[in-house]
Amino acid sequence: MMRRLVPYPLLAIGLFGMWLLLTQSVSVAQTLLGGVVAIIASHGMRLLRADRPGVRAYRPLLRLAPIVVADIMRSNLAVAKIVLFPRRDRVSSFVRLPIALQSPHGLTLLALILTATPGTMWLQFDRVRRELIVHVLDLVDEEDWIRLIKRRYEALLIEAFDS
Amino acid sequence: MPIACPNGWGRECTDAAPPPVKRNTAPPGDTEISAATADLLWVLLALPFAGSLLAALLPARARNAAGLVAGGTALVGALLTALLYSSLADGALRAEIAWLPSLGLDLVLRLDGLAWIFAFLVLAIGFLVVVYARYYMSPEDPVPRFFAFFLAFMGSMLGLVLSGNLVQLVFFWELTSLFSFLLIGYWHHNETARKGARMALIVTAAGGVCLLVGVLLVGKIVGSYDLDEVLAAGDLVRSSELYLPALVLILLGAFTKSAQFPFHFWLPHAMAAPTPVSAYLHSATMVKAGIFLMIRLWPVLAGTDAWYLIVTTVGLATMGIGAWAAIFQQDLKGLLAYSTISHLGLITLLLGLDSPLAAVAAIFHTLNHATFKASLFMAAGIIDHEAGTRDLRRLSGLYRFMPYTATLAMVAAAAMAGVPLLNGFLSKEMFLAEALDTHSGTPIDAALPYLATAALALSVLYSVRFIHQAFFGPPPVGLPKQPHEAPFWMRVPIEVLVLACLVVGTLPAITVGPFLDTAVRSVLGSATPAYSLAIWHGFNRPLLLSLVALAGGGAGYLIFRERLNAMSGAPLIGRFKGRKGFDAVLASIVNTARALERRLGTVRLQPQLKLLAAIACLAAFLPFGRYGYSLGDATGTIADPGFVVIWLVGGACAIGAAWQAKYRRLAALILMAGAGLVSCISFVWLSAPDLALTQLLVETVTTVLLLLGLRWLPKQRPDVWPAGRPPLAVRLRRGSDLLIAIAAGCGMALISYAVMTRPLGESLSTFFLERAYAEGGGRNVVNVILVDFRALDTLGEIAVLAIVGVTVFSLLRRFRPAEESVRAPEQQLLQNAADEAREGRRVGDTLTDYLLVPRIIMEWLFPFIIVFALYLLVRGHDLPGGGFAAGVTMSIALILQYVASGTRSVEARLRVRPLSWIGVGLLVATATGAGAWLFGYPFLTSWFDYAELPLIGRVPLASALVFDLGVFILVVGATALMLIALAHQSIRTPMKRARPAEPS
Repeated sequence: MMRRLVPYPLLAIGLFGMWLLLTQSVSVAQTLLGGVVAIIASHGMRLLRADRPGVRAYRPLLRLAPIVVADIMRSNLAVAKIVLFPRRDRVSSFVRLPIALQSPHGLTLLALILTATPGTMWLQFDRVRRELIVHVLDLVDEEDWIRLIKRRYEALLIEAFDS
Repeated sequence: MPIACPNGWGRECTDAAPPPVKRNTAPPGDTEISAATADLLWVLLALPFAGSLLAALLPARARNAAGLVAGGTALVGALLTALLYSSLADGALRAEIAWLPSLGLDLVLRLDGLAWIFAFLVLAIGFLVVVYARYYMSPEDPVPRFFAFFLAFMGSMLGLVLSGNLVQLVFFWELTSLFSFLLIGYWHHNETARKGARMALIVTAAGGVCLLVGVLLVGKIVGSYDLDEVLAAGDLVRSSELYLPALVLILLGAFTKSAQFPFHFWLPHAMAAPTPVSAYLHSATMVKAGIFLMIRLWPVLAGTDAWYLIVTTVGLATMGIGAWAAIFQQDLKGLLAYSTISHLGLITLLLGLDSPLAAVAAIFHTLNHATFKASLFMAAGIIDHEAGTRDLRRLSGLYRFMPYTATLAMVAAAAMAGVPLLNGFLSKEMFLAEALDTHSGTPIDAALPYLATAALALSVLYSVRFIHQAFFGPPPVGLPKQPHEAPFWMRVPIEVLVLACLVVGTLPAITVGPFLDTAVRSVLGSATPAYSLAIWHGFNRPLLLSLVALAGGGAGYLIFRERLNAMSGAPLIGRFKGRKGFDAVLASIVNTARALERRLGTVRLQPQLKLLAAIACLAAFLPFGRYGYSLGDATGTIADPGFVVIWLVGGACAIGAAWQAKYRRLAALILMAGAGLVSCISFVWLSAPDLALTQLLVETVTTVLLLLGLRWLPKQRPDVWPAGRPPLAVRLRRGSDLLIAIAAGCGMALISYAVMTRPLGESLSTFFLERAYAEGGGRNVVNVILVDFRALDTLGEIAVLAIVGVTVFSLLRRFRPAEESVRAPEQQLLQNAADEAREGRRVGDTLTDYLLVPRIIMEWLFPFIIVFALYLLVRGHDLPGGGFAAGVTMSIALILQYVASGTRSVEARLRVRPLSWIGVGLLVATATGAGAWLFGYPFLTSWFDYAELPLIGRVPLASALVFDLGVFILVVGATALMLIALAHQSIRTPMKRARPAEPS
């Protein structure tokens, strides 16, 4: 019953939050309206019959969130430094990254993280070879980067989506 | 007091003022009664149209129901008209509705004696013809459509005779032409019917245009289109300089309608119509419209040399040619058609003679002709119906099969020939008396008695031929059907009409006398002459001529009978074929138009665009050429460096787009989008967030739609010139294009600069700024203007948007791409080749792989964009946003899904029905506007208030929001429709073009 009324409950909550942020108000009227809008929009998602993300565990995601926030801030500073004080010997290059993560939604999240972090850019994912190509602005050690991404992000994502 | 007459031959000038008119604003006392009676005229006029609508809605096989509706309508109308007769005793009835009083255009209905007689004729004969048609029409025909047209024609004819305003009269005049066209072409599978209908429409409608101009001239002379005022201003009109053009134009209208020479040729071709139509339109009513007009305006236009010469000559020629052609016809209906032409000529001639007595005879003969000719047409229809042919040479001896019909036809034909004791005789006597009378002393006048007698003799001849050939002689051989008597109800209408011929013929004074008198008085007023409707006036010259005509006609038939049957066309005038002339004129018009189009038109867009830009440039330059160019005295501001940089980028983008447009369309498109973004940023910079938002959204959708369209543009090949460089002509063209572009751009910049350096004067925006919140209830002035102050504009605009959407959709459905665009585009080929070359990949993997992640993101964006769209919609009244922006946003959400998953995949899941969205949107917007009527306000009045709701508090409510919702829904629908139409191009399988066989 509840599922039929609100097909994507978490999404609906997110949409509701978006509405309150957009209207910048928590008055009774806006709250009610926001609820209605969130339900309408999540039904739009139902019509689209999008695949469900299939999250197995939320705990790894909760652990991932602060890491990502911290990384984004750190790399912002790092990139600012690179831009402000250019050095000749800096190398920017592509990194080929073997990926064990299977879930498409997990991959999407990884893509978002990499793209949201300045200095790294998601370029291409080869589904057959399971290889990801990432562009790194300041490449010191390729192995280092691979280890970093796999350990910091991929491990948690596998825990959340694949296990 | 005798007034000096400005016209011809010293006729005593009759100040033909019409009798007093009873207006709605009559003296107190009987005001209410007369107003109520006059209002019945609206009912009378609306009745046939309502019946027409009802008949049109009936199913195609509902023969009886349609007949009942039509017959009932005509009968009720006729009875109503009969009831109204008593109120004509003291003048005309008049009902008016002010429509555009400032332009002298009011809806006026006016019933006087003449209008009454015509109205009664229209309705009573209409009723009889309906009864006849119910049995005449085949069950296979879609009869409700026939009756719908028939009733609509009846209404138009009524509107024509009841009009109290000249422009209104012309309007109904054109309506009768239109419905005559539809009725002639009723059997549209028949080519003769289509051609005849088209000819009748072109001739009568061309006359209608002349009439309209003529009437406008009269209105200009008199200063009013009101019939009463025009009728009272006869002297003014006749003495005006514009009299002659007005007269000629009005007569052109009347002559084309009443099939006068040389426009008579359409009437015989109109005989392709079902016989009831011929009986009703082309003998009794519509062709009498021209006659009616001439009688109606007789007091105004008649009484001059020009009138006498034109009308008499044309009438005489028509009478003679019609009668002459009629005797050679082998088709029954053709004979009747030419005889109708001849009789119409006779009436025209009478009107041309310019004497009140002749006018009386004209009105009388109009009535008589309607009765006997309608019955003759019906009899001809019965013969056609029961014997299967209308060919006089094949018909013979039908008397023994259909004695009733034969007898009725004989009486009617005798009336047409002018045999004593029948109505035709009486008006013919009056005509002969007038012909003998001296009017002008011109040669026409001297020859008139002889010509009249000759024409009447011919009329006797063809009447006798009709009867004798069809009903007497040996029994017919080889008819398509075995002839027998017609059904009872098919004969009844003829019986009624023939009875009328007899009664009027024997007892004229006590039957038709009073009605005729009312009609004559309403036209001639105080100039009404003394006339007698007696059968016997003693042995006098008219009687003698009448007897000569009867004897001559009878003898002529006896002598020439066999030879007439052997003729296949009319001698002397056979060479002059009206139809050939008509076709030649039509062909030359079409050819001239085509030649002009070839000479002046082009199918290429570039010259059109060039012309447009050049003319606009020139037009904009003209005022500066005259008044000079100067800047205002506002002090300049220092340009913000950031802004300058943005604009330099935008300018570079624009120039780059033009530079790349020919060979690198994708690059040009991206650059164009860049220029669009810069203008968007400028709007933000200059504090126009509303515009910026709309610009951003529109820019997005436009770029995506153009990208989709790029796929189908044929590839541009680089020019290769033999000489290595482009020839001079090409360089000149390019140079001039560049010059025009630079001139237009710089001109715009200069004008803008000149405007912006001047102080902003008092403009509408102050009004809007002040009233937006106070009266519209919104803080977003732009939105309040759109959905409230100028909601009608917006309604029109969204209607246009809907039309454009549907048009794009229908155009693209028929779209055939260029041959080189049909195959898969280069990118797809490359991708597929790469997929095939590499290990472990299948064709199409690249496509799915590179969209794997973006697709998920775009799918999850869908609900968020919906929320954003709804947010824009809701806040639109107070903050930047609104229905249009929200609608475009929503369509972007849809576009993204198409981009992410492809057309097939999206449509398998999400069924968007853009046409329903468009319809619902338009309905919501219009219904919101119409809702104001419920509260007694004009269309699209908006309403807003605050509602106090428990718990929630004050909630602003505005009807404008609902209107905006309609805009939103429609914009989503229209944009989605265009998008889908474009998207479907890629999944269509193009038809293989036929290739010429290659030699093997």
